[in-house]
Amino acid sequence: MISQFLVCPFDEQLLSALSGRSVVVRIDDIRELSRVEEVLERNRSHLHCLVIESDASVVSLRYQESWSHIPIALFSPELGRFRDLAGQLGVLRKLNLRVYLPSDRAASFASLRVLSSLGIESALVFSKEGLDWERVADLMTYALLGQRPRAGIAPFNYVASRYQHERRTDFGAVYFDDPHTYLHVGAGGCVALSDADLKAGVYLAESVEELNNIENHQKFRAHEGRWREFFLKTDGCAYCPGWRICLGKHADTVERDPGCREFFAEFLDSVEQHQSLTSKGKLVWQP
Amino acid sequence: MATLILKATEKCNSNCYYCDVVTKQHTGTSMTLEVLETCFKRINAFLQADPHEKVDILWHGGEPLLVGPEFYESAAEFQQEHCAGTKDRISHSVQTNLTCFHEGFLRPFARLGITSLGTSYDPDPNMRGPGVPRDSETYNSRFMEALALVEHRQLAWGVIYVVTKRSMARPLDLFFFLTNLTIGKGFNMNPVLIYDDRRQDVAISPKEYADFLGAVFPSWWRDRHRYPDVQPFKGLVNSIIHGNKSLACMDSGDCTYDHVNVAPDGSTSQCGRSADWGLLDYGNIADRPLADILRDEKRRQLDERVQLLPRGECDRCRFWDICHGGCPLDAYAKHKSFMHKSEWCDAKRGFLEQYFEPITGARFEGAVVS
Repeated sequence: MISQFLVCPFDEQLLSALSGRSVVVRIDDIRELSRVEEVLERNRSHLHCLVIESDASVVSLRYQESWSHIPIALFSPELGRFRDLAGQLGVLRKLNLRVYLPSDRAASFASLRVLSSLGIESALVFSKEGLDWERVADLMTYALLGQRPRAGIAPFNYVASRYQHERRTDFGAVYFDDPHTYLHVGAGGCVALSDADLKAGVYLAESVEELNNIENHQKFRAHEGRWREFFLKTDGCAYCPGWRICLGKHADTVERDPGCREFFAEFLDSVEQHQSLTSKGKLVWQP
Repeated sequence: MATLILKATEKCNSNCYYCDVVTKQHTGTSMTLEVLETCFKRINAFLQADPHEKVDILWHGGEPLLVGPEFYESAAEFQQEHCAGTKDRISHSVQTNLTCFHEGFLRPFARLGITSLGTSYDPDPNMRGPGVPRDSETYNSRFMEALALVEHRQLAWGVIYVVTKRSMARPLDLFFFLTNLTIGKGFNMNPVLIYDDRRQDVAISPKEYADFLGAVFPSWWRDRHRYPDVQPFKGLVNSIIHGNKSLACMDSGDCTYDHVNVAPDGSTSQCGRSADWGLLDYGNIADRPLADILRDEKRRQLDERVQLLPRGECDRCRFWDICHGGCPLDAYAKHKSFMHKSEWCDAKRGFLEQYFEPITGARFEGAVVS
């Protein structure tokens, strides 16, 4: 029995085959949510998270307080008008929700601050090209070094809460991209280590049933050891001070855009600063 | 604690550019089981005679894994057979390039209580590897494959990085490379030791080594909590700031009566280099008890050196307590005599005075830190 959560599309036949498992179901229309619940209940499956990949802005969707027990990852292109949020704020705050906004829209950086200050968990989705690392660094600093209580912004707070100097820190799980935590299942039941592999037809197994001892599976172990490939190169990510929390996630673009190096070095410093701030209670003059 | 450097073999599967093993004349022999068995008999007799003593065996080479897992199975058998009452006072470690490591070694290593492997690595192309030119690509890939197995089997490991002239071009990059590679582990930055004129393109002077360390030290010092086990920095901080002297053999000044190198044919000497250079011959382990080898008369010259230097070349050197004139073999390489300080003292002194003390704010005055 594998311990990973299975990320899959909303497909009733597939979910029936995954009966009894912990799943992450992907939908693109929030109105399908109730139907997903019904199917999972029928199959006695556990919903780890519902991923909603919506084309609509966050504020344009209609939320219900009755969803408060459902973990939701909402991928949206934009927040929408701030003032339109007011009417749904009470409900949104009650939901088990993380809002994902893309880095290739300048407005996302302000929107993520707004969401954070309103107490709504959020995440920045890094674009592959043209990242404005200065903006990312500003957002990271806001997320980690602000003194006011507010909701976390991933991956910054995710890394800050998990980082230990004696191990590598992988924030891929924020984006369901970490085979230690998530495996991806296609409509036909094939299993892949990542969504990218699934789309590329690179499968780990033909079905979940084949994966009883995944820790010793050759492809899984090969994937687990992929970090070592950076150390076979005479240049690149292995020489970066921030590699231990990045693990080469921007290796494909670093030659064209080396800003990630400076960012992740700064991110690492801020993580440690955040940890030192939060580990010591502040003592003022009062005896 | 007696340290036995057991050279399982003088063979090596690599042709590392800076390695002295490949240049020495008497390569190619491996330890016979007869010699191996004798070693354990001698160790047992030594430990039986002194219940407070311990023995640390360092398996070395050449490449010590070239002899195969069967050799270490035999070692475990001999230890079991001959050291039944003393084996709890015997510890083992291995210094290997890892490229021959495979599943077959797990059992004998477990039987010997080996839970940690010492290794070395260099990302610089054609620096390490078999053949001419050195096939570092294959070598490093094999290293990484073995490392995957080492980690999968939860063995600890640490790395020695050899600082060469090529390292001088980008000290900080290399530092981050090593810290990333060894997260949760440790590494040591040692200067390359070149004794001929043939490889001067990689040789470095003591000053260059000091400058390499000096280029790295500010980053380490600032984030030392992040990179806790980086040598020689950690050892110097422990010795100078915390007052807990933890000196390597070359700095301790007390290797005289507790180190012995056993070559594949059983001949003994102080260490690997003294054996390679035909110095400090303490006889064959087949002919002498270990206790006699560890008290050999020839060792006295090393003791005399430690008495002589503070009255001579090291007079008034405030770093004596953490250096002791450095390694006597390094002194010999330069002066053909042990009775001098090592030229690498200048590297240590230069690094401490120019970088360590100004950056840390600590000043070492003999045994006292101000």
